[in-house]
Amino acid sequence: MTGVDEAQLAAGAAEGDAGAFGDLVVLHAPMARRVAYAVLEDQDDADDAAQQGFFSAWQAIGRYDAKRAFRPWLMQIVVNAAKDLRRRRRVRAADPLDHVAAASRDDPARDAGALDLGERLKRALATLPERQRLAVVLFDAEGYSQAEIATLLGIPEGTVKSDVFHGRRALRKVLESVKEEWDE
Amino acid sequence: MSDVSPFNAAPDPELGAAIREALAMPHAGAFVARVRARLGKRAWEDELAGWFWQGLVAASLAAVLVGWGWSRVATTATTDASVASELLDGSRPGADILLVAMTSEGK
Repeated sequence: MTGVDEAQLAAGAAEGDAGAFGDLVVLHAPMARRVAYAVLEDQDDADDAAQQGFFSAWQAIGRYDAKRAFRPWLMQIVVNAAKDLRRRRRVRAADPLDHVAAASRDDPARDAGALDLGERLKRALATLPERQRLAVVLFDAEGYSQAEIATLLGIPEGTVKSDVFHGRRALRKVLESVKEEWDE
Repeated sequence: MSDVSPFNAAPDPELGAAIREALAMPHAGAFVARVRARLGKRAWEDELAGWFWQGLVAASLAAVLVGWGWSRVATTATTDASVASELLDGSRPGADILLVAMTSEGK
């Protein structure tokens, strides 16, 4: 789907076209679920949050300015939905994160053992503070600019740069160690 | 990796692809179907809710109109009854003359 299509769909959705909004759900569901997972670190919770994000976006569609990009607007709502859910399930969510973080905070690559690259990256992501995790996921995986991330997370652009820097450093370490293993 | 410097302001395609793969969630089709189904249901509920308020306003207006009409009918009937009873009663001056005039007109 091209950018023009997305703009047209967003304009249609802004006028209350549920079909157009449904097409936007298809287009953005993978990203919304990944970003929600980056906040919640649980697939079921991430699905609940992404779903809630889409509903909230549909309810607020009258306030969406069709002249602006739809994707950051939607993703801000999804991130807020994920953060709300995490606040409500703080106790439940804290257990696995603490467990993983305690096991691998010093060197996630070393402690990940025989896990595959995906699992190692997930574990490495789990050791990062939430803001760093979101910044690096939104920047490197989802293609948002640092300025967009700053607006989306409500933090200064300099903080985004710093978060991306620290997040990348940890994740690259994992990626490099896996590549070294593959090369051996 | 395109650039090992973490200061690089451009996204790292290799790291990005690895993160997307790591965070990919299963059952994408089921998720979308669930969201779309609930969106459809919600749209229908919103439609019903809209009709509910419109219906409520219409019913309230109808009730006010019926009440107003009923009170008009009741007031007219009471007024007619009181004029007739005063004429028949004969307590008012000239009532007997008026009554005779009215009854003779009818003959």
